[in-house]
Amino acid sequence: MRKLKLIVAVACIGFIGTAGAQSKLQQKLQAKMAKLSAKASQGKYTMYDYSDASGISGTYFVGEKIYKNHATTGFNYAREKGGEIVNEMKVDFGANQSMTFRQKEKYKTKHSINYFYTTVVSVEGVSVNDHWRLVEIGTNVYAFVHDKDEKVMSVVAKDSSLLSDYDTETAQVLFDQKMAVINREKMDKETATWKKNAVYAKNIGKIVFAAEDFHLMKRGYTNKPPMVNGKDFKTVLDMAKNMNQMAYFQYPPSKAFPGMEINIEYEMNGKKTSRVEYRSKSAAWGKMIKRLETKDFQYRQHAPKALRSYNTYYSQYVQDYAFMQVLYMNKDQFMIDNEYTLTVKMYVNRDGENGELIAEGVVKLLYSADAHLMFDGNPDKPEKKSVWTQFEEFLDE
Amino acid sequence: MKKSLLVLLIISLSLLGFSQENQNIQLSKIESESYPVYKTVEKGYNKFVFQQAKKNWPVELFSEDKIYPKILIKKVGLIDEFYTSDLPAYPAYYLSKASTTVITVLDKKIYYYTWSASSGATISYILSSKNPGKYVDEKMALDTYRREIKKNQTGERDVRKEKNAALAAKEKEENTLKGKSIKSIQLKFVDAPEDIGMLTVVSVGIEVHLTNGKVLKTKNLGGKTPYTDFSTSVKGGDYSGGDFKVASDSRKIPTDKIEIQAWSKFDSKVKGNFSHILNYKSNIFYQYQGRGGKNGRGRTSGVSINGSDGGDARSVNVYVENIKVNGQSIHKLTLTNAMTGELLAEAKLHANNRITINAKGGNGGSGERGSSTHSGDGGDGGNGGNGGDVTVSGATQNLLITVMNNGGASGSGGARKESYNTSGSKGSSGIKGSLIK
Repeated sequence: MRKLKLIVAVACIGFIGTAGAQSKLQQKLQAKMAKLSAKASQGKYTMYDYSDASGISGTYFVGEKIYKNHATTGFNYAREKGGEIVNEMKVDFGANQSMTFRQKEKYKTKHSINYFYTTVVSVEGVSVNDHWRLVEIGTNVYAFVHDKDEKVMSVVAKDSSLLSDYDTETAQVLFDQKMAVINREKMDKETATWKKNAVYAKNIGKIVFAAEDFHLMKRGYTNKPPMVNGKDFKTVLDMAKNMNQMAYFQYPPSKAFPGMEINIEYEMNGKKTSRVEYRSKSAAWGKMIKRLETKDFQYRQHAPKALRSYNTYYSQYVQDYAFMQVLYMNKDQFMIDNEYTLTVKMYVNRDGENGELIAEGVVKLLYSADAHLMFDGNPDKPEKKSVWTQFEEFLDE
Repeated sequence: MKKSLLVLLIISLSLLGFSQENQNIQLSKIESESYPVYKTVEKGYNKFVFQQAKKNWPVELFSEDKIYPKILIKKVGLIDEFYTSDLPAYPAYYLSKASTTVITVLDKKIYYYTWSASSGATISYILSSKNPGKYVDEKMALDTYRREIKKNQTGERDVRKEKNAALAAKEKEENTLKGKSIKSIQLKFVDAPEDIGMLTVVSVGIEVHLTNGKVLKTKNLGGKTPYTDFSTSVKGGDYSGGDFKVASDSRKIPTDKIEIQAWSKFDSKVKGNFSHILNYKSNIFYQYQGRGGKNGRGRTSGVSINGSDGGDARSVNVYVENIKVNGQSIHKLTLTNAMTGELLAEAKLHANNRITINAKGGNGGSGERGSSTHSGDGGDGGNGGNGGDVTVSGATQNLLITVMNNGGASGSGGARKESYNTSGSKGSSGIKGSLIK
């Protein structure tokens, strides 16, 4: 406590001292701090005597420190070991600290990008499960990248004067550019794989329909080309049974239309509803119609969506309220055993305005005798609420 | 107290002032120049701070008659990123097609961020000659601005919507059959499928030749005439949205052909006809499995904590005849319910194709876990349903058939909540059905 009082007193004296004295004291302190800071930023320099035919190996100066105070790191690249091609690079951080990387040969051959990924991490304070990449962003300049979030953590260069040009921000942009080249190729390859699948190839840009969700997509395999044969896709759906839909996209909406919403429009006999429009009508509608965003549509198909489908877990029907509304608008025309054409259009949407049409489907809905009992009520089971009674209760909210 | 209220009022009014100013006004307050960059850095969970980057980024503003339709940001001085306004007459932000990043200028600060309607802005950088405030405050100012200005955009947005709607209406008018004088209607395959059998889906498009020489097509043929402008009558399956699905029962294909007749729903005088002979070269599937038992859910009214039993599959008799259809060797199959004799389906199948019958018993539902039951005891699992017996008779020698008729899996018992509670018992599996050939 006494010590604390003393510190406070000295500080107070410092602050209430004369202006001249204060200025001198500040100058002295600033000079001392600058000296300390310069010393700290210099760090420990170790020169590595590594070399190889490709010119990758050697001593690299470090921008942001990677391991403790070490200001240099040593790249030791070996294309071959014991007669085998290994493309291995050991990166030393001094004091027996190192990481071992392997070169991605494909990126070098196809895109002339020197790209290495860690196989062994042996650096104090760095988890062995943490993975890193080294990507060349300029001649003998490498970005040291955290694999998980693709963030550039530091830049290393053979010529230390280049570090002022290649700061972390610049390196991040250059790294992103390299990755865009690599990812474009990945995407094209993925597209080609998907297009080999007949069900996908035939239905790109289309919305398909089925009674059961698992007839549209094998559960849990959104990221894989369709594992269904399409034989259970329907052109006519009985309104008394489950009705599900799913779209096939040319490209994943999350990548083709980043930062946007998805809107689904339903049209029957010239009457139209849209999820975005009805969502914004009231809190009650907003609660029943979930916002769909492109970021959640990461693949070329999506988890099937119920038009109206019984969920055994919740022991109740899950239904798209915009779809239910378009049925409700047409309900007075429904006649038993007649079919009614439903057009479904899926758009990307920004601020309530539709953009590109990304998928479209047409299906006939059969108003069967069972559907009539379900939607209008079963006189033999008066205790059971009809679909329209329930929907009208919602509309009254 | 009065002073605090006054300060709060001034801040609120100033925020309101910004919220009323669209980007054309906000941009007029800044210049094209090189701006210091403040990068968002995460310092712990959900804690962000701004840190000044080493380089300034050049920003170029493009304007015409007080409208700023475009901004150029030279990222790290190297990469040209162009952003265009969301609504030129009353912009709220600038966007680029290639990325999720959007730009908004507010109080002479250029926000470089991504936007989610649900979670608001995620700021990556602020470009500004003055120091930014705390991350949470900057985010709040930006979120408030974006949400408030949207309301003021309604008028201009409606104008654009009307323009787009007028364009769409023009396109619709050009492509609809309504009011058009039709010379002929043709239906054609989109691809030329070689093998068509039961349950096959084939794309059939419609082409309409008008008396004025113009040709209108449905979407699957590259046109824009809606499928809903046509009325159709079909045999051998269903036709909807340009897809013809061959029936699952050969009684619905009496002529061994698929047939479509199509006409304009506005004028039925001219009709187009399409027919195609089937070769039945398609594998077919029939589902007669038992339904799955429900899981125990004691908190739901009317539902027990115990899983219910899976249903038994239907037992099916399959009678096979060998016939010739359109020159092809075909198996004619008659499927009946073995218990009731009810005719379930008739099928035709090329000799080289396969029929699969799924007559598995339904799985038993799982018992509810004690952690969610009132008593803490786990519910019992339901029993699996029995697989159906399948009997194949007649000319069975060359029939390719797969029968799946295992008994349904037993439902697992729910685990108890505490050691003094009891766990539910596992149900028993269903018995596999027999296959007699």
